Amino acid sequence: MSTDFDAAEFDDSNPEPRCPCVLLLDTSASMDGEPIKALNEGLVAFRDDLDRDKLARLRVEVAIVTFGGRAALAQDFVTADQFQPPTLKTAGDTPMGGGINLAPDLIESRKKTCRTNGVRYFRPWVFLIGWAKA
Amino acid sequence: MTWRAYGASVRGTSHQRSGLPCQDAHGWRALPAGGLLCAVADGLGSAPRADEGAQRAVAAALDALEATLVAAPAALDEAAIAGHLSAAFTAARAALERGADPNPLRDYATTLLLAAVTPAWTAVGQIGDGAVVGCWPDGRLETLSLPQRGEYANETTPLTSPDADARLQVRVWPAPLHALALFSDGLQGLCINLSTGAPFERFFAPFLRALSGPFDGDATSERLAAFLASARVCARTDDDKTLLVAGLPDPA
Repeated sequence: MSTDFDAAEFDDSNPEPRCPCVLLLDTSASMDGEPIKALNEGLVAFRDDLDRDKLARLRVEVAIVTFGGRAALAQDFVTADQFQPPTLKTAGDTPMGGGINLAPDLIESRKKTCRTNGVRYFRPWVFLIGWAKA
Repeated sequence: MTWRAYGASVRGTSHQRSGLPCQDAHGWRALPAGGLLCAVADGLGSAPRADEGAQRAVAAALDALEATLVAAPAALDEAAIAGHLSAAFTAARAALERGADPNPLRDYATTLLLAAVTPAWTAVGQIGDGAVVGCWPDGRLETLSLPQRGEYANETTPLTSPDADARLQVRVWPAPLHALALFSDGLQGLCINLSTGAPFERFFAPFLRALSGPFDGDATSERLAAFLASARVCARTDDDKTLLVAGLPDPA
Protein backbone atom coordinates (compact mmCIF):
# COMPACT_ATOMS: atom_id res chain seq x y z
CA MET A 1 0.00 0.00 0.00
CA SER A 2 1.35 3.39 -0.90
CA THR A 3 0.44 5.83 1.87
CA ASP A 4 0.40 9.52 1.20
CA PHE A 5 2.94 11.10 3.56
CA ASP A 6 1.51 14.53 2.78
CA ALA A 7 -1.43 13.42 4.93
CA ALA A 8 0.84 13.84 7.98
CA GLU A 9 -0.47 16.72 10.07
CA PHE A 10 1.78 18.98 12.14
CA ASP A 11 1.47 19.89 15.80
CA ASP A 12 0.47 23.54 15.50
CA SER A 13 0.41 24.04 19.27
CA ASN A 14 4.19 24.56 19.36
CA PRO A 15 4.96 28.28 19.06
CA GLU A 16 7.75 29.29 16.69
CA PRO A 17 11.01 29.66 18.59
CA ARG A 18 12.11 33.31 18.68
CA CYS A 19 15.41 35.03 18.06
CA PRO A 20 15.65 38.39 19.87
CA CYS A 21 17.79 40.86 17.93
CA VAL A 22 18.78 44.25 19.36
CA LEU A 23 20.13 46.97 17.09
CA LEU A 24 22.27 49.51 18.99
CA LEU A 25 22.41 52.53 16.72
CA ASP A 26 24.44 55.71 16.93
CA THR A 27 22.18 58.71 16.21
CA SER A 28 24.49 61.38 17.58
CA ALA A 29 25.14 64.61 15.70
CA SER A 30 28.32 63.13 14.27
CA MET A 31 26.03 60.90 12.16
CA ASP A 32 24.58 63.94 10.34
CA GLY A 33 24.28 63.72 6.56
CA GLU A 34 25.42 60.63 4.69
CA PRO A 35 25.96 58.36 7.72
CA ILE A 36 22.40 58.65 9.07
CA LYS A 37 21.02 58.34 5.52
CA ALA A 38 23.04 55.13 5.05
CA LEU A 39 21.89 53.82 8.43
CA ASN A 40 18.23 54.44 7.61
CA GLU A 41 18.66 52.74 4.24
CA GLY A 42 20.34 49.87 6.05
CA LEU A 43 17.31 49.43 8.31
CA VAL A 44 15.08 49.15 5.25
CA ALA A 45 17.45 46.63 3.66
CA PHE A 46 17.49 44.64 6.92
CA ARG A 47 13.67 44.59 7.01
CA ASP A 48 13.55 43.53 3.33
CA ASP A 49 16.03 40.70 3.95
CA LEU A 50 14.06 39.44 6.95
CA ASP A 51 10.88 39.70 4.92
CA ARG A 52 12.27 37.41 2.21
CA ASP A 53 12.93 34.59 4.70
CA LYS A 54 9.68 32.86 5.66
CA LEU A 55 11.03 31.53 8.96
CA ALA A 56 12.96 34.68 9.91
CA ARG A 57 9.71 36.65 9.45
CA LEU A 58 8.13 34.57 12.19
CA ARG A 59 11.14 34.04 14.45
CA VAL A 60 13.28 37.19 14.56
CA GLU A 61 12.20 39.88 17.03
CA VAL A 62 13.73 43.28 16.43
CA ALA A 63 14.30 46.02 19.02
CA ILE A 64 16.18 49.27 18.43
CA VAL A 65 18.16 51.30 20.97
CA THR A 66 19.49 54.66 19.78
CA PHE A 67 22.16 56.78 21.39
CA GLY A 68 22.14 60.39 20.27
CA GLY A 69 21.99 62.93 23.09
CA ARG A 70 20.57 60.16 25.29
CA ALA A 71 20.22 56.40 25.13
CA ALA A 72 16.62 55.42 24.43
CA LEU A 73 14.46 52.55 23.31
CA ALA A 74 13.35 53.60 19.81
CA GLN A 75 11.57 50.34 19.02
CA ASP A 76 10.49 47.69 21.52
CA PHE A 77 10.65 44.05 20.39
CA VAL A 78 8.42 43.37 17.43
CA THR A 79 8.27 40.22 15.29
CA ALA A 80 10.03 40.73 11.94
CA ASP A 81 6.83 40.56 9.90
CA GLN A 82 5.51 43.55 11.89
CA PHE A 83 8.75 45.55 11.85
CA GLN A 84 8.49 48.99 10.21
CA PRO A 85 11.94 50.60 10.04
CA PRO A 86 11.86 54.05 11.67
CA THR A 87 13.50 57.05 10.02
CA LEU A 88 16.10 58.02 12.59
CA LYS A 89 17.21 61.61 13.15
CA THR A 90 20.44 62.80 14.71
CA ALA A 91 20.89 64.79 17.91
CA GLY A 92 23.45 65.51 20.59
CA ASP A 93 26.48 63.61 21.81
CA THR A 94 27.25 59.89 21.82
CA PRO A 95 26.23 58.09 25.05
CA MET A 96 27.25 54.71 23.64
CA GLY A 97 27.81 53.21 27.08
CA GLY A 98 24.25 54.02 28.08
CA GLY A 99 23.00 52.31 24.92
CA ILE A 100 25.15 49.24 25.52
CA ASN A 101 23.86 49.01 29.08
CA LEU A 102 20.25 48.94 27.89
CA ALA A 103 20.72 45.90 25.62
CA PRO A 104 21.24 43.13 28.23
CA ASP A 105 18.25 44.35 30.27
CA LEU A 106 16.07 44.33 27.17
CA ILE A 107 17.21 40.83 26.28
CA GLU A 108 16.80 39.44 29.79
CA SER A 109 13.30 40.85 29.95
CA ARG A 110 12.44 39.36 26.53
CA LYS A 111 13.82 35.94 27.50
CA LYS A 112 11.72 36.05 30.65
CA THR A 113 8.60 36.84 28.59
CA CYS A 114 9.41 33.88 26.30
CA ARG A 115 9.91 31.51 29.24
CA THR A 116 6.69 32.66 30.89
CA ASN A 117 4.82 31.86 27.69
CA GLY A 118 6.59 28.55 26.99
CA VAL A 119 8.30 29.91 23.88
CA ARG A 120 11.78 28.63 23.00
CA TYR A 121 14.40 31.13 21.90
CA PHE A 122 17.68 31.10 20.01
CA ARG A 123 20.81 32.79 21.34
CA PRO A 124 20.00 36.51 21.01
CA TRP A 125 21.92 38.89 18.73
CA VAL A 126 23.13 42.41 19.47
CA PHE A 127 24.48 44.57 16.62
CA LEU A 128 26.15 47.89 17.35
CA ILE A 129 26.42 50.34 14.45
CA GLY A 130 28.24 53.60 15.00
CA TRP A 131 30.33 56.19 13.30
CA ALA A 132 33.99 56.97 13.73
CA LYS A 133 35.84 59.55 11.67
CA ALA A 134 39.23 58.38 10.44
CA MET B 1 9.91 -11.32 13.66
CA THR B 2 10.63 -9.56 10.40
CA TRP B 3 11.20 -5.89 10.94
CA ARG B 4 10.55 -3.35 8.27
CA ALA B 5 12.37 -0.04 8.27
CA TYR B 6 12.75 3.04 6.14
CA GLY B 7 14.35 6.38 6.71
CA ALA B 8 15.75 9.55 5.19
CA SER B 9 18.02 12.44 6.18
CA VAL B 10 17.44 15.59 4.18
CA ARG B 11 19.44 18.84 4.11
CA GLY B 12 17.67 21.86 5.60
CA THR B 13 17.09 25.04 3.63
CA SER B 14 19.42 27.03 5.93
CA HIS B 15 22.18 24.51 5.18
CA GLN B 16 21.49 24.87 1.44
CA ARG B 17 21.79 28.65 1.67
CA SER B 18 25.04 28.57 3.64
CA GLY B 19 26.55 25.73 1.60
CA LEU B 20 26.62 23.27 4.50
CA PRO B 21 26.09 19.56 3.79
CA CYS B 22 23.34 17.52 5.42
CA GLN B 23 24.79 16.85 8.87
CA ASP B 24 22.12 14.35 9.94
CA ALA B 25 22.68 10.61 9.58
CA HIS B 26 20.67 7.48 10.33
CA GLY B 27 21.00 3.70 10.15
CA TRP B 28 19.42 0.44 11.26
CA ARG B 29 20.34 -3.23 11.65
CA ALA B 30 18.22 -6.35 12.00
CA LEU B 31 19.51 -8.81 14.61
CA PRO B 32 19.60 -12.53 13.80
CA ALA B 33 17.48 -13.39 16.87
CA GLY B 34 14.67 -11.12 15.70
CA GLY B 35 15.61 -7.72 17.07
CA LEU B 36 16.17 -4.35 15.48
CA LEU B 37 18.64 -1.55 16.17
CA CYS B 38 18.08 2.05 15.03
CA ALA B 39 20.28 5.13 15.29
CA VAL B 40 19.90 8.80 14.33
CA ALA B 41 22.59 11.46 14.71
CA ASP B 42 22.40 15.21 14.15
CA GLY B 43 25.78 16.82 13.58
CA LEU B 44 26.00 20.30 15.12
CA GLY B 45 25.87 23.13 12.59
CA SER B 46 28.71 24.84 14.47
CA ALA B 47 31.07 21.87 13.98
CA PRO B 48 33.00 21.85 10.67
CA ARG B 49 33.06 18.03 10.29
CA ALA B 50 29.69 17.33 11.88
CA ASP B 51 28.49 15.37 8.84
CA GLU B 52 31.35 12.88 9.25
CA GLY B 53 30.79 12.86 13.00
CA ALA B 54 27.12 11.97 12.62
CA GLN B 55 27.81 9.20 10.11
CA ARG B 56 30.62 7.68 12.18
CA ALA B 57 28.62 7.87 15.41
CA VAL B 58 25.69 6.01 13.82
CA ALA B 59 27.90 3.29 12.32
CA ALA B 60 30.02 2.81 15.46
CA ALA B 61 27.04 2.70 17.82
CA LEU B 62 25.22 0.15 15.65
CA ASP B 63 28.39 -1.96 15.24
CA ALA B 64 29.05 -2.01 18.97
CA LEU B 65 25.50 -2.79 20.03
CA GLU B 66 25.06 -5.43 17.36
CA ALA B 67 28.29 -7.21 18.37
CA THR B 68 27.33 -7.11 22.06
CA LEU B 69 23.76 -8.33 21.63
CA VAL B 70 24.64 -11.11 19.19
CA ALA B 71 27.13 -12.45 21.76
CA ALA B 72 24.91 -11.83 24.82
CA PRO B 73 22.73 -14.45 26.47
CA ALA B 74 19.06 -14.35 25.48
CA ALA B 75 17.83 -13.32 28.93
CA LEU B 76 19.21 -9.97 30.11
CA ASP B 77 18.21 -7.93 33.11
CA GLU B 78 17.46 -4.24 32.75
CA ALA B 79 20.78 -3.12 34.22
CA ALA B 80 22.68 -5.28 31.72
CA ILE B 81 20.63 -3.90 28.81
CA ALA B 82 21.19 -0.31 29.94
CA GLY B 83 24.89 -1.11 30.29
CA HIS B 84 25.04 -2.35 26.70
CA LEU B 85 23.42 0.83 25.41
CA SER B 86 25.78 3.01 27.45
CA ALA B 87 28.71 1.01 26.09
CA ALA B 88 27.50 1.67 22.52
CA PHE B 89 27.57 5.43 23.21
CA THR B 90 31.06 5.07 24.63
CA ALA B 91 32.10 3.15 21.51
CA ALA B 92 30.61 5.84 19.26
CA ARG B 93 32.51 8.54 21.11
CA ALA B 94 35.72 6.48 20.97
CA ALA B 95 35.27 6.08 17.20
CA LEU B 96 35.04 9.87 16.85
CA GLU B 97 38.17 10.29 19.01
CA ARG B 98 40.13 7.72 16.95
CA GLY B 99 39.11 9.34 13.67
CA ALA B 100 39.58 12.94 14.77
CA ASP B 101 43.35 13.34 14.79
CA PRO B 102 44.72 15.89 13.88
CA ASN B 103 41.43 17.78 14.18
CA PRO B 104 39.87 18.61 17.55
CA LEU B 105 37.15 16.21 18.68
CA ARG B 106 34.61 19.05 18.80
CA ASP B 107 34.84 19.38 14.99
CA TYR B 108 32.83 16.14 14.89
CA ALA B 109 30.17 17.19 17.41
CA THR B 110 26.92 15.31 16.97
CA THR B 111 23.90 14.18 18.94
CA LEU B 112 23.03 10.47 19.05
CA LEU B 113 19.76 8.59 19.46
CA LEU B 114 19.92 4.82 19.75
CA ALA B 115 17.02 2.38 20.06
CA ALA B 116 16.96 -1.41 20.36
CA VAL B 117 13.90 -3.65 20.23
CA THR B 118 14.09 -7.41 20.81
CA PRO B 119 11.31 -9.96 21.35
CA ALA B 120 11.73 -9.44 25.13
CA TRP B 121 12.58 -5.77 25.67
CA THR B 122 12.93 -2.23 24.34
CA ALA B 123 15.73 0.20 25.15
CA VAL B 124 16.41 3.78 24.13
CA GLY B 125 19.42 6.00 24.73
CA GLN B 126 19.97 9.65 23.92
CA ILE B 127 22.51 12.43 24.05
CA GLY B 128 21.31 15.78 22.71
CA ASP B 129 18.06 16.72 21.03
CA GLY B 130 15.71 14.88 18.72
CA ALA B 131 13.43 12.21 20.19
CA VAL B 132 12.13 8.65 19.93
CA VAL B 133 8.42 7.85 19.74
CA GLY B 134 7.31 4.26 20.23
CA CYS B 135 4.10 2.48 19.27
CA TRP B 136 3.16 -0.30 21.72
CA PRO B 137 1.30 -3.42 20.53
CA ASP B 138 -2.02 -1.91 21.75
CA GLY B 139 -1.51 1.01 19.36
CA ARG B 140 -0.64 3.53 22.05
CA LEU B 141 2.05 6.08 21.09
CA GLU B 142 4.55 7.19 23.70
CA THR B 143 7.52 9.53 23.56
CA LEU B 144 10.29 7.30 24.92
CA SER B 145 13.10 9.82 24.95
CA LEU B 146 12.77 13.59 25.05
CA PRO B 147 14.93 16.30 23.49
CA GLN B 148 17.66 17.44 25.88
CA ARG B 149 17.68 21.20 25.77
CA GLY B 150 19.94 23.94 26.88
CA GLU B 151 18.74 27.49 27.40
CA TYR B 152 18.78 28.24 23.68
CA ALA B 153 16.78 26.52 20.95
CA ASN B 154 19.85 26.13 18.76
CA GLU B 155 22.11 24.57 21.39
CA THR B 156 22.33 21.06 22.79
CA THR B 157 24.82 18.68 24.38
CA PRO B 158 26.76 16.58 21.85
CA LEU B 159 28.37 13.17 22.21
CA THR B 160 31.76 14.92 22.06
CA SER B 161 31.03 17.08 25.12
CA PRO B 162 33.18 16.47 28.23
CA ASP B 163 30.00 15.78 30.25
CA ALA B 164 28.42 13.48 27.65
CA ASP B 165 28.54 10.52 30.05
CA ALA B 166 26.60 12.45 32.66
CA ARG B 167 24.04 13.65 30.11
CA LEU B 168 23.36 10.22 28.60
CA GLN B 169 19.77 9.08 29.22
CA VAL B 170 19.02 5.38 28.89
CA ARG B 171 15.62 3.80 29.50
CA VAL B 172 14.62 0.12 29.32
CA TRP B 173 11.13 -1.44 29.09
CA PRO B 174 10.52 -5.17 29.65
CA ALA B 175 8.34 -5.42 26.53
CA PRO B 176 8.88 -5.07 22.79
CA LEU B 177 7.51 -2.16 20.77
CA HIS B 178 5.37 -2.78 17.73
CA ALA B 179 6.88 0.17 15.86
CA LEU B 180 9.05 3.19 16.52
CA ALA B 181 10.15 6.48 14.99
CA LEU B 182 13.42 8.31 15.64
CA PHE B 183 13.79 11.88 14.45
CA SER B 184 16.23 14.78 14.66
CA ASP B 185 15.37 18.17 16.14
CA GLY B 186 14.54 19.57 12.70
CA LEU B 187 11.28 17.62 12.93
CA GLN B 188 10.57 17.61 16.65
CA GLY B 189 8.48 20.81 16.63
CA LEU B 190 6.19 19.25 14.00
CA CYS B 191 5.54 15.89 15.62
CA ILE B 192 5.66 16.22 19.40
CA ASN B 193 4.21 18.79 21.77
CA LEU B 194 7.32 20.55 23.03
CA SER B 195 5.73 21.51 26.36
CA THR B 196 4.41 18.10 27.35
CA GLY B 197 6.48 15.81 25.12
CA ALA B 198 3.30 14.09 23.92
CA PRO B 199 3.50 12.58 20.42
CA PHE B 200 1.20 14.19 17.83
CA GLU B 201 -0.63 11.13 16.56
CA ARG B 202 -1.89 12.66 13.31
CA PHE B 203 1.73 13.24 12.31
CA PHE B 204 2.81 9.65 12.83
CA ALA B 205 -0.26 7.86 11.46
CA PRO B 206 0.68 7.78 7.74
CA PHE B 207 4.28 6.78 8.51
CA LEU B 208 3.17 3.87 10.69
CA ARG B 209 0.56 2.80 8.10
CA ALA B 210 3.32 2.56 5.50
CA LEU B 211 4.79 -0.41 7.43
CA SER B 212 1.77 -2.60 6.59
CA GLY B 213 0.82 -4.30 3.35
CA PRO B 214 3.26 -4.76 0.47
CA PHE B 215 6.48 -2.98 1.46
CA ASP B 216 9.39 -1.67 -0.59
CA GLY B 217 11.86 -0.10 1.85
CA ASP B 218 13.88 1.81 -0.73
CA ALA B 219 10.83 3.26 -2.47
CA THR B 220 9.27 4.21 0.87
CA SER B 221 12.52 5.88 1.96
CA GLU B 222 12.51 7.88 -1.29
CA ARG B 223 8.94 9.01 -0.71
CA LEU B 224 9.89 9.99 2.83
CA ALA B 225 12.84 12.03 1.51
CA ALA B 226 10.47 13.84 -0.88
CA PHE B 227 8.13 14.59 2.02
CA LEU B 228 11.00 15.92 4.17
CA ALA B 229 12.13 18.17 1.30
CA SER B 230 8.60 19.41 0.58
CA ALA B 231 7.65 23.09 0.78
CA ARG B 232 5.20 22.24 3.54
CA VAL B 233 7.94 20.89 5.81
CA CYS B 234 10.47 23.57 4.81
CA ALA B 235 7.97 26.30 5.78
CA ARG B 236 8.21 24.98 9.35
CA THR B 237 11.90 24.13 9.71
CA ASP B 238 15.09 25.25 7.97
CA ASP B 239 17.24 22.68 9.78
CA ASP B 240 18.39 19.26 8.55
CA LYS B 241 15.72 16.67 9.26
CA THR B 242 15.77 12.92 9.70
CA LEU B 243 12.97 10.44 10.23
CA LEU B 244 13.63 6.75 10.70
CA VAL B 245 10.55 4.52 11.01
CA ALA B 246 10.61 0.80 11.81
CA GLY B 247 8.08 -1.76 12.87
CA LEU B 248 6.47 -5.11 12.47
CA PRO B 249 3.83 -5.37 9.75
CA ASP B 250 0.27 -5.72 11.01
CA PRO B 251 -1.02 -9.29 10.67
CA ALA B 252 -2.88 -9.56 7.34
